[in-house]
Amino acid sequence: MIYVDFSVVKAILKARYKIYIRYPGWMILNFTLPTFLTAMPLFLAIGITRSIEAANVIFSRYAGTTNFTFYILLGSVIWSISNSLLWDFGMWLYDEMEMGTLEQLFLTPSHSLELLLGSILYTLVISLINSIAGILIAAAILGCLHLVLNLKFLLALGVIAFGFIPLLGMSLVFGALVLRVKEPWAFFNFLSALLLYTSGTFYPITVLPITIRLLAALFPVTIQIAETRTIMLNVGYLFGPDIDFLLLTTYALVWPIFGLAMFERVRNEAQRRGSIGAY
Amino acid sequence: MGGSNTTSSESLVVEARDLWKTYVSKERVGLFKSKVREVQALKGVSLDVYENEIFGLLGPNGAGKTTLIKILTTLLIPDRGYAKVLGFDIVKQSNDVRKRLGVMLMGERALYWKLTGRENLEFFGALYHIPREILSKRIQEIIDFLGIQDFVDRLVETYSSGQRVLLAFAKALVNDAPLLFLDEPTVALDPARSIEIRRKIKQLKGEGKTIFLTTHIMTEAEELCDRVAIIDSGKIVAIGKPEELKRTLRGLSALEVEMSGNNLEYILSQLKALEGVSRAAITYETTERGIIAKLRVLCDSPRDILPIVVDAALQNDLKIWYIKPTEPTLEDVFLYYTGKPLG
Repeated sequence: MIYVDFSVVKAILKARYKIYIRYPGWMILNFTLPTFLTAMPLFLAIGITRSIEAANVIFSRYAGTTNFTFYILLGSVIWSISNSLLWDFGMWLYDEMEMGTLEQLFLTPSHSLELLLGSILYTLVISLINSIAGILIAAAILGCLHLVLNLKFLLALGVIAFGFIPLLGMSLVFGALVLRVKEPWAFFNFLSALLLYTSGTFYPITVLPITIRLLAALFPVTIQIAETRTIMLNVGYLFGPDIDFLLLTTYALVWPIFGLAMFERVRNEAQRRGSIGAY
Repeated sequence: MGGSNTTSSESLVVEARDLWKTYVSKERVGLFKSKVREVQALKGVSLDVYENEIFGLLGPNGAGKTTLIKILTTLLIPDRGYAKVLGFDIVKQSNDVRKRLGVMLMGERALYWKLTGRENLEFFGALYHIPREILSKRIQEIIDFLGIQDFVDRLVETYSSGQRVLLAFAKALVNDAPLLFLDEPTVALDPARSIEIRRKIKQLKGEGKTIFLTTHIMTEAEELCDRVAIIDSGKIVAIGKPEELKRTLRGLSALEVEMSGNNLEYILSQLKALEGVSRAAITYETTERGIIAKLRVLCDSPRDILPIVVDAALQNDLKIWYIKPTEPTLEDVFLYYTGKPLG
């Protein structure tokens, strides 16, 4: 039976938060990235169709909504926040290895579950703050704030937050990879691009070939984006409300357990090989 | 091995028996080819550390010091052998061991640079499950004890190297552990700070703590340690009280020479071949006079060796800055057992 001391969890949360706010550049980037991501396809569409109205008309044939801007904005926000959440744990581990503090953490009597919970809870809280701030800033700049400021947005936030649970499990797998191979950045960049192309951030995934669509359904981000669009714009289910929910719930159960088991296994192996502090 | 000149009534704090560790790494030599490299870091290390003693582990880089410390502090699992720290098995009861250790590893690197010194201490204290009110009091005591109040509330990134080492030392004290592992505690400190830290280490011993330290500064080891172990190529080659170890060199004396010039390695090889010379080694030091070679010869009679050294220096156009026959020090013990100088 593992006893979790929440003062350890709180201490990690607090320390990571303090470090985060002492790098204001990251905060600014996280708050504004969705605006830049949304603006890119927006300008591209205007460039091709000559006006946003014309783009909306053409886009509605595929996506079922004439609000092209808000459609992209929701995808951009969820992708950018989910993407950073997915890698945050691995990045944190890598930073700890580089600073020499990872060994110090493992020298304390805190259980690795407490260390993981602290770090993951921080990621969850910061990701939610970034999601809200990112959507509000982008919506205000792109003229769709009225769509955000309603009760449906709270429900959408609930879906986004629920989707973070399987992502946290995936982030543990990535953390294990950092501990094992030390330099997983090529894999990181590849998977990041794959997620961007397959999750339907900028277009409905129905435009993709069926095999890629099935691959996309394996990523919780795809379902998160689809469900949020359904709530806010009434478009976008992947397979239907029940199957989508069932899939997301399954991922929320499977990924954390798999991630935790894999991380513990790799950590024990690293302890045997003497590679915990190596980077 | 271990326990020389200690009575059985003294309680064992560290008990290591026949510890072996080999690092295995894969090195990619082609797209589909990799080479397995094995490094034997420990080869059957056994030692005992007793309650309330300062135990020094001396050895050159790559001798196995860090591997041994990592095993004893539960960071690394040995391939063979066992160790108990404060009565707990380091593998099976690792958490019980960690609770009771204060560790200073890697000095200044092991800190969060974007937190203040106090925030670092609070953070690590929480990880030792210390209640908040006790922790605040404890941290203040450590700050006063080490005299770090001037900079403890600044971000660590603004600290000098010495200040970071002091904070790392403070961190090792945060859980008030009965056993401290200090890896090169004075390495980046100026002489005044080093003296101060050595005084604090003695004070901690006075408070009943046991201290396991590594150092490559022989005078520090002589001043602080009740017993020392010399480790070389993964093996303990000598262990005992500094005085005891020096006595093992009975009949030998040392000749200390400082010189500069070329052909020093040639002279060294000539000296090593002489009858009556037990060991000889050279270390180099950069000073305001340039690079100075410090030659140390361990021999039966320095008076016989001295003219040979002077002759060789004259023939090779070397400049002698200093020459002196001395009694053997711990440095000579190290040279005697390992055949090489420390540092």
